[in-house]
Amino acid sequence: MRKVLRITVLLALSLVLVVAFTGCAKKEAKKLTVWIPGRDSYIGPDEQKKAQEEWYISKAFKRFEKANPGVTVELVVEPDAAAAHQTFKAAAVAGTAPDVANLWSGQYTFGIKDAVRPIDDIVPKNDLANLVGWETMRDDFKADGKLYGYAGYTVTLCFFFYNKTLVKKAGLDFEANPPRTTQDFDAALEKIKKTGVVPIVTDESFPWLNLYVAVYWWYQMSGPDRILSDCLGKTKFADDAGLLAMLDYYHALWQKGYVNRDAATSSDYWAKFLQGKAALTPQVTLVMSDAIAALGADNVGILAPPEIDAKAPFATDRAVGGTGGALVVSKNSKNPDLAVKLISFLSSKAETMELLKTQAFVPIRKDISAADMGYKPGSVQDKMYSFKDKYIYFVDNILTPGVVDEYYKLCPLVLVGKMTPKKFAESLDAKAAEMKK
Amino acid sequence: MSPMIARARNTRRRTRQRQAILSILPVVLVLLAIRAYPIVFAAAKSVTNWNGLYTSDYVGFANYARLLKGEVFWTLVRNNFVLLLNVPIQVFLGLVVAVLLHERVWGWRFFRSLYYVPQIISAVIIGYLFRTLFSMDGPINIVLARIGLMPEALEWLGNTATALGVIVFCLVWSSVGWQAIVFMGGLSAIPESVFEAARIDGAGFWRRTFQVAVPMIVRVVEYAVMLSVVWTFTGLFPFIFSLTRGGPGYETTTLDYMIYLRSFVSGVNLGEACAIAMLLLLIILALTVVEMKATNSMDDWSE
Repeated sequence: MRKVLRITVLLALSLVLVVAFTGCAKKEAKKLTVWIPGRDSYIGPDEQKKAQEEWYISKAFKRFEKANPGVTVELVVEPDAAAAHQTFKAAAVAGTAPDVANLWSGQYTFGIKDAVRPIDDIVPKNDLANLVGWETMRDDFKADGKLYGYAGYTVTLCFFFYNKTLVKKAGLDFEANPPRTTQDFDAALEKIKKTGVVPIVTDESFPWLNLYVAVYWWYQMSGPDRILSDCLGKTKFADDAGLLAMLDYYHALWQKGYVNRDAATSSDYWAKFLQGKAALTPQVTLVMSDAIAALGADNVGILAPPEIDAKAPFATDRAVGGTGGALVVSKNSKNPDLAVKLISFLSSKAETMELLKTQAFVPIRKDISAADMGYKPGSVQDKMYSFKDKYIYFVDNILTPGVVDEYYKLCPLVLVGKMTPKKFAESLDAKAAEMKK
Repeated sequence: MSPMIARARNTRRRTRQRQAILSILPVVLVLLAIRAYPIVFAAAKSVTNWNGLYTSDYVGFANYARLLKGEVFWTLVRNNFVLLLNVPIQVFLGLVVAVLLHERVWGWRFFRSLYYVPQIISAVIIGYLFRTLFSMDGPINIVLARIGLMPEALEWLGNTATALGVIVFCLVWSSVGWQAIVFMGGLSAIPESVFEAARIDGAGFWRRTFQVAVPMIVRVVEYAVMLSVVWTFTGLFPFIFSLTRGGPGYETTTLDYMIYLRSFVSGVNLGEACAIAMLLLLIILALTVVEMKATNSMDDWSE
């Protein structure tokens, strides 16, 4: 009897041990790997001067780890945001893609969707209600398309940044009387030119002026569906009157001497603007703090693109912008729920407010006001915030892979008159046809 | 010879052969793994529509046909051949510098280090340096305007001819030191008495360089030229990336830069990138054969 009892006790103890060990195994530490680009991302321009542990994102990960015992988050800084998509693909094929990657939204993400886990089934409903930009992450921008991730961490807006002193010197007041038509805009630039200052400086070797401003005119006249249809080869860029008219005006700005002569190759356009040698430059709001630091808070203004056609069918009184970034979960991730939990945490109101302490931007959350962000009424940041619902989505994120590269490459040639708009459009058509195959 | 001695010699020969094979086997295996495998892999992928992920369908020679029919590919080839101009210039300057240093002109130790300095600077930094130097408001335009050679600033990097010229200049500047060091290695094998005799016979500097030194180091020159040609086709990426980004348009894009564009930017077409790589390999092989034949005939002449 004793023997039976002893055996029973031993068996019971073994069972307890097995259960205990199994429990321990279940509580095994979980690790998330996250790729974040080194710039224009959660890592602000000023933060790069600090040690990595002082960055907002490093601290946010620590807070997430604290809130989720047993979870560790590893930050991998991607040096080249443009090449990150291909690196992500290569890692996905090798089975080593990170759990979460901060990439670019729209076509950039759709181009790698084979490596991205759709998150329709795990995204919290609260986030769907409180965040903006979901349409840029849905397959082919369709409302019922698969959801490939969260839109990036900010609504980035593009404007002409302008130097108020230089503009006033030309007898203009863009605050009270901004040019709202291209005719008014030309007249203003002519006045600035006569003061001996370069009206607009840009470096179109990557076509900033075109992508931050000029595409607005294309969008105004042709609309997003036509642009997408051109990309997919259903219609022709060469027959797209909006595109051709936009390119004509884009080239005319350079031809009339309103844009720096070396715009196709300039290496110092931003420095020139910051040094007060040029009146306007196309820029994103992410770098507004640099302009304010260089020129003074009272000396920096923002100007939305003028209307190319007051009766344009698709948009008026808007800027170019949107949620250009994307946070995606890779198919390699063993913990997709946890990965989404991390993205959701980063998108929360508390974390967004923390991030705002390091960068000035328009938040992706609907429940954060300009006052919450501490933007003074009448300030340049307040004006930026007033465009939070008035923007057209980045056209280069609508252009399909391949077409967009050709667009970047050939655009400067159109600006300086070395390629006609028609020839440019035909080159895009050829690329669209090639990609279709 | 007795059969026993013959057998022993055969055994020794076989043992030596076996030892030789075993000695080089590791290197051969490593070379096969890191050279042959990627080439075979690229050749296989060049006939597919591989997108870097899971799409990799056989498309025959469509990638090659599209490349060869398109204007862009020929622009890239043109650019590479124009940039080859850097090779004769850097070889010529490298030779001159090497002979000067070999003859221990005044300050030769200092100049030997000075000429080599560009070699230890990152190509990306050199690219940015030249981009700044040749910008519209850069030092080159300022100097040219001050001395009255060019009153109006020139957009050096905005025009095809001048942009390619700047790249050639940049490549020459960064490589002359390397050429000089290589040639000095060759020159050190020539007895001093040869130069001494040439000097006594009244040969000036140029005759000593091109009629004494060059024929005696023709194999070294061949090596330097061959490496420089291959480098011009395969190693310019960091210069182009930092100097012009291949622009304006495709006007300064080279074949190796295009491989990067097709592989790593959003419109990824790795099948086409592999096709460009294979065509590049063929071009380099053809040039190497031509060059070796030319050098062989020179070498025969020198003998």
